[in-house]
Amino acid sequence: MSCRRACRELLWLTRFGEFGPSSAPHLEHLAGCRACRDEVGFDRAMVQQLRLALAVRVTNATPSESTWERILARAQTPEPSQPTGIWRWLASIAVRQRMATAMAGTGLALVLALNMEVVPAGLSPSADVDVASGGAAFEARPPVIPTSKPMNGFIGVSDASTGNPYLTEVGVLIAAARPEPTVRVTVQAPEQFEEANILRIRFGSQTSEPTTTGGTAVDPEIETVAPAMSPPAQPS
Amino acid sequence: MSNPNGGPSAQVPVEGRQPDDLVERMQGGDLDAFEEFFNTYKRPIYATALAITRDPFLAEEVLQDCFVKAYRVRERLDPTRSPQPWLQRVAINLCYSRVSRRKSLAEPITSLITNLVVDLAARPDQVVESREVLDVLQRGIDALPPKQQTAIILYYLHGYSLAEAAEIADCNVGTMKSRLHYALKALRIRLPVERRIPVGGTPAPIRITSR
Repeated sequence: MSCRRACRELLWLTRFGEFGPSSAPHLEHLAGCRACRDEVGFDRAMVQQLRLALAVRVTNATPSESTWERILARAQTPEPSQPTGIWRWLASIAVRQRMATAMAGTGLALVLALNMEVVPAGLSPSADVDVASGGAAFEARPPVIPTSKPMNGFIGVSDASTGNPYLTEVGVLIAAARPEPTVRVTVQAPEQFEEANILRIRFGSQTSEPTTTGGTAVDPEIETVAPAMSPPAQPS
Repeated sequence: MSNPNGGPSAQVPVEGRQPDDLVERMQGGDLDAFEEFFNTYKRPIYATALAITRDPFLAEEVLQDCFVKAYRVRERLDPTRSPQPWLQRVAINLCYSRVSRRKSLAEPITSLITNLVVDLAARPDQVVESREVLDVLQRGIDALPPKQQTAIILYYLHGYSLAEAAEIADCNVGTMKSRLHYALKALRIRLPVERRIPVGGTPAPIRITSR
């Protein structure tokens, strides 16, 4: 029997007073091992101190004289009736509603924390302007461009052929944005992208009623300039 | 099952047997019987509440709630069994629901009492040491998880046997032993090595072996 195991079992035996005939090897070890004796001795002393610490907590633990009168008064008062039937059902509905609200709030917080894009109903993510492909998707669900206010925002550009989302992070600048209906947009794409692949522009910052749609290939009011570029890098 | 570590001075005495017909009389609506019932069990229940909450006012609230509840459900009490385990369980649940609602425990009010309780006949350095050890233990008890805290209060404060403590805590004896074991282990870890000397015990320093 290892000293460590013997010590562990000795502590258990002494704590719960479970010495018996099978404890002979432990006692034999205890007789010859100073470290184990110290361990057991310390444990017993700590328990003694623990008892004292607990006793200190309840020193003079007597409830006040008026306790009984208060208990009696409360015991003789009719118990407030518990909600039954329809009220209990309504209460459960209220609880569920609170849970649903809490879950919705949590979801919203997650959306904000993850910096996810919330697109207004009139401009769903599928409404990207696919300029290079002739604007088929654009015509189906055209993006909106504000005309009453300067267009002051840009959401992104993505690779039209692969749809790689990381491309939305780079390469577009709005060179000029005016409150007039004509808006000039200059796209500066990275060199590694082909022209055909970069011009998927999505405007997501409309601030007024949509009156004009955009896209180079189909709308002359928006001019998209893309430099000649080398073949696109394949996503890993 | 006996409590082998029972120290008579440190325990709240378990009240004597209730009169056989006390619960039956209470069930019949006898308020005198209810008062007798209260006087029989108020001390251990109050001690449990005070040991957990460390707040006399909160402990008294728990005591009131516990006995009001006992009176309201008196029809369901079994006259053939002691109501004390049931009362203790109700009190423990009430304590933890209040403590968790209050978020933080009250400041220890017992430090003053601690100074009075330690053996003043001991050497001054031992008195200081004992106070420090008690202080560490008090903080350690507060930091224990509720189930372990309940276990040490039932076993070491009230002196219930393992079986009784297990019944009150609604677990089996093995689980109760395990809770006590881990509670002591947690308390032991909190004691600094240099303070791991039995106060008033053997003067030889104790070397803690690595585990």
